[in-house]
Amino acid sequence: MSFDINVVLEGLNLVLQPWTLVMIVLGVLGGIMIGVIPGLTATMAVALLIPFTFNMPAEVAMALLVVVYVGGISGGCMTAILIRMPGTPASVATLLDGFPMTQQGKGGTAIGNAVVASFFGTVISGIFLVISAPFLAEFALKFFYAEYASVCIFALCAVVSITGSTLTRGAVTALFGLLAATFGISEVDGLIRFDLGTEKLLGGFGLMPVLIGLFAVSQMMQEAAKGLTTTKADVSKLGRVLPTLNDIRANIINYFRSGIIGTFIGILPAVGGAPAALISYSQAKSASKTPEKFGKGIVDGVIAAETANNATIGGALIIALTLGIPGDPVTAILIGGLMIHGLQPGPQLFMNNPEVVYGIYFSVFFGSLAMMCIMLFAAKPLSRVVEVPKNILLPLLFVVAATGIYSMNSRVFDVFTMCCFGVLGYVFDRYRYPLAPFILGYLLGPLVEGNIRQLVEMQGHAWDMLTRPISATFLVFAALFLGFSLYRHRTKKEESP
Amino acid sequence: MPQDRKFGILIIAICVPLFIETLYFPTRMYVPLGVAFWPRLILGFLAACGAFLIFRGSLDKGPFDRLNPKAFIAVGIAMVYVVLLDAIGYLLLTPVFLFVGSCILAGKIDRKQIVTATIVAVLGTGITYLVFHDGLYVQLPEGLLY
Repeated sequence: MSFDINVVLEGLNLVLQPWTLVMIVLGVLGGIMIGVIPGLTATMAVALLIPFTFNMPAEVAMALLVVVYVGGISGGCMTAILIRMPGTPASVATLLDGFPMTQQGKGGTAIGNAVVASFFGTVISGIFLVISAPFLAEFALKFFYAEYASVCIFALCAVVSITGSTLTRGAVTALFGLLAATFGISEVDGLIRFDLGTEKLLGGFGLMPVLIGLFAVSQMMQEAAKGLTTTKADVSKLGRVLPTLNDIRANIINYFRSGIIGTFIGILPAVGGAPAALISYSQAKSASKTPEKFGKGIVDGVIAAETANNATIGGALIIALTLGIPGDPVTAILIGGLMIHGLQPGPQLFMNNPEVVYGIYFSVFFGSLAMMCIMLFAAKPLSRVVEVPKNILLPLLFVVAATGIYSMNSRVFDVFTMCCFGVLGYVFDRYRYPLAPFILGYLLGPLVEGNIRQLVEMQGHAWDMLTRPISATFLVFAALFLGFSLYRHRTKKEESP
Repeated sequence: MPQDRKFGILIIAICVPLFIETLYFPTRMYVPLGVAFWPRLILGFLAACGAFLIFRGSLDKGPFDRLNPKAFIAVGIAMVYVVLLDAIGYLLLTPVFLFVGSCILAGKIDRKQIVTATIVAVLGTGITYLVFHDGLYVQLPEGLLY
């Protein structure tokens, strides 16, 4: 997996095609618009977009999906700053100082610095991605059945441990995800199982109906249930949006520290942008000479939060591309996007389709550049997007989702499946059962089953999972994650009155 | 009844019939782990979680979020749209769905709302039809227009 300049140039050439550049700008714009609207997340934006990419070449499709992710995460800062309502969960730390700045008439400065911080965060994590991914991919070439099964078990245990208020709830949703993946013809031996007497289930539940149902339809249901209050963003007192060079210069260390924190948190499965931003914010506060100003409207707080939440993008992509393991729902959808285009994420992707990998790298950089330009120069009109009435938006989004799902196989059954998974997602969410383990279970289930069964068929036993060093290490880490989670919940329970 | 206990009962109710179904899976000779191995393992763990939830009743203290009927009404309308889609057709049913959905979600029907909902219904249908049918070459259900 040696470095080949020709492949890099091919990846750059793919992204620099006029059609791809147009897609990048449109994708970023669409992502920002979805991110700006409170309640609509980057996950939903990427999920809704997948059906539009079916007819595109893989590299264009992946560029589009990646930049929507970048735009969606970045757009959330606007409403956090202007109306104290984070557009996406990742922007929750931004409002701590962003909104007080708006109250002081410095909303424009907060947005400008947040946008530049988002750019730096994405670029810093992108550099980490470019440097570390080939090494990790090369390491992953040593993986055999036992290692693949163990790394998937590790990812599942990590997600179950981290997400949700209790370990059991995470485990329940992960097991439901694993179970949902067993419906239809078994991938290992082609035998039918759980078809429930209908040929429509022979292919199982499609990936896209499950993803869009869980993350878009359930979100629409929540928004419909909340009642449809229209939010007004007062942009008349926004002031100057372009940040000053002094602000940027004074925060150079802040950018790097927050970028590194965000990247490493992004690598951990299912932790996501919000904790990364909060941890980075607290680190910036500890390191500051004026910590008393944090929470009262200081630009350093906005920069720390936005740099870190965008830096999780590159971190999450590192594991998703090199091992084929999704770190969070968005990367799960991106992996789904790759698979729909016939590409298998993991070391084979680096060997067989390096141009797509480099295309993704360049998309991250060009996407963040486009995001910065669009958000700096169109901050005022973009913040008006928040005023679009949801009674108009929600039915339209559902039609787009339904038509997109229908377009895959021309089957109404798939759209119905999407609705059912939407209901399931809504019920899980209301009862505090996290959704991330479900989708990871759904994606990783066939990998775990296939690798264990093939290992046992070949060796007659599965002891390799415990005796091979890499595999055993992953299983030890999985056990440590579960043990730590149990300990954490137990101590929390003892501390609470 | 505590909500986690309800969930536990639901899980057991799902696991039992599915486990019985695994007994009727087709089998192959000389395969160490058959097609039923993995689903049974998952169902076993899931049933254990269900039993734990029934035993514990509630995993944490409230207040708990309630299921909002409005959410189910919204998805119910959407499901009616999906069920009728093949029979009535995309071009006829989508504007009706967009209009009705928009009015119901708005919670009030005045002249402005009707005008807005009508414009959105017509434009929304037209644009999505053009994008998917003419742009992405998707054969959308023609229904009564066939």
